[in-house]
Amino acid sequence: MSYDRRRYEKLIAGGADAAAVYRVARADGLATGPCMRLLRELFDLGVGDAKEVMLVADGVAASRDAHEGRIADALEKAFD
Amino acid sequence: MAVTGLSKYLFRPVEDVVRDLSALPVAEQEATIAQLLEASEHTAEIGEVAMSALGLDDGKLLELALEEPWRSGVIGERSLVGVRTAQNAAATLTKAQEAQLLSLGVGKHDFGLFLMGRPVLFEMPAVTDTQEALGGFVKLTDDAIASGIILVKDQGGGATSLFAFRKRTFEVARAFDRPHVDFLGCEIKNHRLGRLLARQGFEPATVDVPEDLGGGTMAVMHKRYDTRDS
Repeated sequence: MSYDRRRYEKLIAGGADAAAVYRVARADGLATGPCMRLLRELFDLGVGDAKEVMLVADGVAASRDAHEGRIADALEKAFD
Repeated sequence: MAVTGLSKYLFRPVEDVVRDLSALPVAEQEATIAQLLEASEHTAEIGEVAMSALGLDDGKLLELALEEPWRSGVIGERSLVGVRTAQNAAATLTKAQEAQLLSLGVGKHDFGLFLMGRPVLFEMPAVTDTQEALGGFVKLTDDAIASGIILVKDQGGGATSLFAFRKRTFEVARAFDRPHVDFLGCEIKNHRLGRLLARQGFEPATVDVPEDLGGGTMAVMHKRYDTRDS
């Protein structure tokens, strides 16, 4: 899915951070992959950093480390 | 993707690109689209943009060479081949293969690219109340389906989603008669999760990030499974 990059560049020019841009992109209907690409392009982020922005902005977890810790918990329980 | 000076045309709604290109003199339109085609490995996508910019839809693609030779030169052999190959490849899908790809959350528009061996993105629909979606990429190789998880947005930890993802990926592999599944966990930060995966036989590696996710490289934990295992 393509997107209007200029729309998000204007948000950044207005002071929006990566989380704010991500929330707007999601509201615009962008899926996970395009959102990741957008964040990486606009903020020069690695994959891991972009993941963290998305997880925290969505309120899924306080950090990527904490989120993955929960995944570890769930998998350990499932493997037992 | 290095497209110095051309990036303003990429990753934007086609109608914007069409408007901008249409405002250029014809000679510049040709040159700009030709550069776009040369600059990108995404020939199919750029071909689509070029076709749209020139007022053509897919069905018109083969007519253009007869009607307006300069346009066929602009579209270029690479994109022409890319678009046609993707379309032809997608036409060979069986209903079962299509159903499995849809189940994983691969978009229909990406079927052709998938069959050509390009990594395509998926967004697997939620399988639990606490999950939004599970996003990643999937790639068809000669002997395997390679499937990478980028993000599991599940406040419950995601075990149900991950096992559903595993099951569906195996089903995709079987539908395409591939004997192996390569699973990749991408950019894992949590040491406990890394150790847990290592105990399950996952190994660290560095792989290319699909261009649709921004390119570059990333660290992964990966493991190859035999489709007869599950």
